[in-house]
Amino acid sequence: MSFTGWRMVQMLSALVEAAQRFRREGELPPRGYKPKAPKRIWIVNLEEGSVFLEGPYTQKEPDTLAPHRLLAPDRQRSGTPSETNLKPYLLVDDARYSLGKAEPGKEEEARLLHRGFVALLESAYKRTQVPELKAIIDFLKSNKVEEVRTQVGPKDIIRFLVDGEDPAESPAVQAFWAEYLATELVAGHRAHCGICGAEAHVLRIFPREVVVLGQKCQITSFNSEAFASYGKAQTENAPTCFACGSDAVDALDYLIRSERHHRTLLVGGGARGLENQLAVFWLQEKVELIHEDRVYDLEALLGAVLGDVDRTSGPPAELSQLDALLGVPWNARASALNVDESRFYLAVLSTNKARLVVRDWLETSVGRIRDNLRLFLAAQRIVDPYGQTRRVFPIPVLLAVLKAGDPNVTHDLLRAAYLGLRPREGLLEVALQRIRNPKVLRNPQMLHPLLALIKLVLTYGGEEAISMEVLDITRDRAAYLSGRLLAVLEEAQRRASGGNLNSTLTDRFYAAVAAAPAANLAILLARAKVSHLPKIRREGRGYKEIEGILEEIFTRLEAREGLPAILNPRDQAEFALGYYHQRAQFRQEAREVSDKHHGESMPERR
Amino acid sequence: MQAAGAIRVKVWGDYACFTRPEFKVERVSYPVITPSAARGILEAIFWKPEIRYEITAIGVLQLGTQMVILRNEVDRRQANAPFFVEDARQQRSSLILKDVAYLILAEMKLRAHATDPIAKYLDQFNRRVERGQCYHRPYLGTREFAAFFSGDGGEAPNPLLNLDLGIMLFDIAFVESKERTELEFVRHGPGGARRTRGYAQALFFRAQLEQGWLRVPPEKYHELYRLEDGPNAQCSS
Repeated sequence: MSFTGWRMVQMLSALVEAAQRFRREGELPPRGYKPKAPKRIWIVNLEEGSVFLEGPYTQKEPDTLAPHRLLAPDRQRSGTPSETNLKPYLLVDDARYSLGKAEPGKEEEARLLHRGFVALLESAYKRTQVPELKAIIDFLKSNKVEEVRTQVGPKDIIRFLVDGEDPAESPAVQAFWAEYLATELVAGHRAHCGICGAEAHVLRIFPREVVVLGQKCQITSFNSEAFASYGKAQTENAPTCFACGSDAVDALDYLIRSERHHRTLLVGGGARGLENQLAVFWLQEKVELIHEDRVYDLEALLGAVLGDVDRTSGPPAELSQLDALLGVPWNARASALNVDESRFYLAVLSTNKARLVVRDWLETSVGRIRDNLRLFLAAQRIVDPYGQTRRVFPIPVLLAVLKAGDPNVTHDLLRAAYLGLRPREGLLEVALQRIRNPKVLRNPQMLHPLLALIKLVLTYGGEEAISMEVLDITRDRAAYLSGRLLAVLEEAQRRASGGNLNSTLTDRFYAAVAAAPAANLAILLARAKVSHLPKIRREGRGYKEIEGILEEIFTRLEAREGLPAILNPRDQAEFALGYYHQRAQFRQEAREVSDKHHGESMPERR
Repeated sequence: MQAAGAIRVKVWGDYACFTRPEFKVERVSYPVITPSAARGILEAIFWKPEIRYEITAIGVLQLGTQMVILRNEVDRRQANAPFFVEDARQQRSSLILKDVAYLILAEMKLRAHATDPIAKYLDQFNRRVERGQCYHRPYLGTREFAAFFSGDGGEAPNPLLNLDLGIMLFDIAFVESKERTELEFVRHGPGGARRTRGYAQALFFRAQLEQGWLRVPPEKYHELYRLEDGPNAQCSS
């Protein structure tokens, strides 16, 4: 395998690069700012010496009003506030900071916080000379503040407008905040940045947290004594300059927030962060493909493989589009752009005790992905349990049906999809374990993705990927034929009972038959000959069809030395496919018969 | 022509974790061994205060695959006062490498206070490699991932392996300082070992795999020695 032209740069470095793209596209807030949507926000409007208090606005307000959605200065803040741990946000903060509104019994703390807020505003005014800041400082030092203070809650967010203008939007104020953070957050000494390699003052702590699946976490965190080395504290253990650190956190925060760039792969039952997995992905540059006069967003298409786990009724639209587009050359809308050379990045993230966990990180080019995705989707494409349509599944659906919290399962599927690495045989064992569960066997919605996964491992990269999409009556592998035989015996049982069965022989014997077909199928066959087959012959319920299939299967089996005594995991996967395909075939025939009868009994429309 | 103190050692192991500093707690490994980890392996095999190793190149015989493991660890350091592990339990995830093999090319250098010729140390090193002797078990990044070693055996890296690895940890400089006394460490010199105080500084380099070889820029060693021994630092060999 050639690795020429590959890159395996670190995630933070790729995020810094991504920040440049997102900034160009206007997606990122100014450095040190963050999109916020407070639970309750008041607007203090200062107009020509008068004060108007608007609000409170809550998150229930329609988005069009959106005074509660704003870009505001932000920084990491934790611990009990004190003289040495005083971290006000510039301009937009809660009422304890901005107005000195005390929580009951915490008047002293409120005074301290407010003092810090005003001091920060004064520094900003001194540096920028923005007149709106002066107006706010004057207001905060006047008697009018008391009137406002009585109406708001201590944890309510206060935003100031001066003559309708928000000073937080002033470029000078934004530049001040970035500069202020840069001096506040860095250590006193210089070192080499581990992201860009340049010598600079390194961060003591990252500018802010990111929220992964509802849990706040730091990109780099050394939040226990044992994690630090060489006598260094916090981020000094991972030397990072302010520019790289803030760009990385801004880009990651944007990716996590953006619907376009993230997908939830797995959400565990409990609150444990390590059970949850979130994928973020992006392209080096935004690419729009053009095909038959339609424009496709390549990022959304590539993300379709990680599509929504809830959409089990049909493949997500983007995945169907991607599946269709894999067979044609990709041309970018901007003709100068070489689509194949564009780089694709993907990270799988979890959280663990306020720390970001990178479960997987991969980087490749679009050209490679296209070939790899083609193989991946072809290998898993399989007919539905009713024999109607053939479809593929996004990775979260495959993970959900496996119910496996093991990150290596995600890892295998992602690498098969994007890097073209053959899926591990270990996946088969997990899938076979699941299929032995009668609840799964009885549920076509679960069975379909599970068999797609089994087919993926079994046929990846082979010609069988096509022939195994539906029942292959020419396939003479003993394990496949044994699986088909079980489905035929089950069908005989169904027909004999008239379709009124609470549980079938498959529910009870699948696991035993799949492990040792010869011993168990012989018993089931003997039972069918005595009870089910005579009954369906007597009552005319398709005996000839069943007999014909049994004959065909036994003819092929005899040519292959009969029923196998035991099956290894790979053969058990064949067995599962044989059973599934034959069962789907029966369901399809039954539906066709039912539709035909239904059509005949319907009065003709005139 | 081969340098006077040239060394070639093959190392391999089932697992490896060359932890990136930025993901040190929830560990993420670099995709290949770092020069400092390679130096650590050589020092585990043979080390004297009179010598030091300069890694010149690392050949990737087996890149390995990545896998995720979750382990129970503790959140505090061992000290005089004992603690219950159950009270300090922390689960930590590691994105590690599986089935790796490298060829380490290095030069053994004499320190300024060495009196014996380098051939003496070189012979000792080669004898130890031949016999499989080591002072402590060499490891691939972390101590639980033991490394095996042998002579190079004529193996060569995959010439199709070309990878941009980005910025990579080169080594840690232990700098004596009276202003920044963040840690205590041992310094070796003509007078023997002595304890001193100072700080550690990580050095990085732009890592590039070309035809299976990761070349380590020699100027990084000059930078390391400048930091550790002052501006006039040099090796005698």
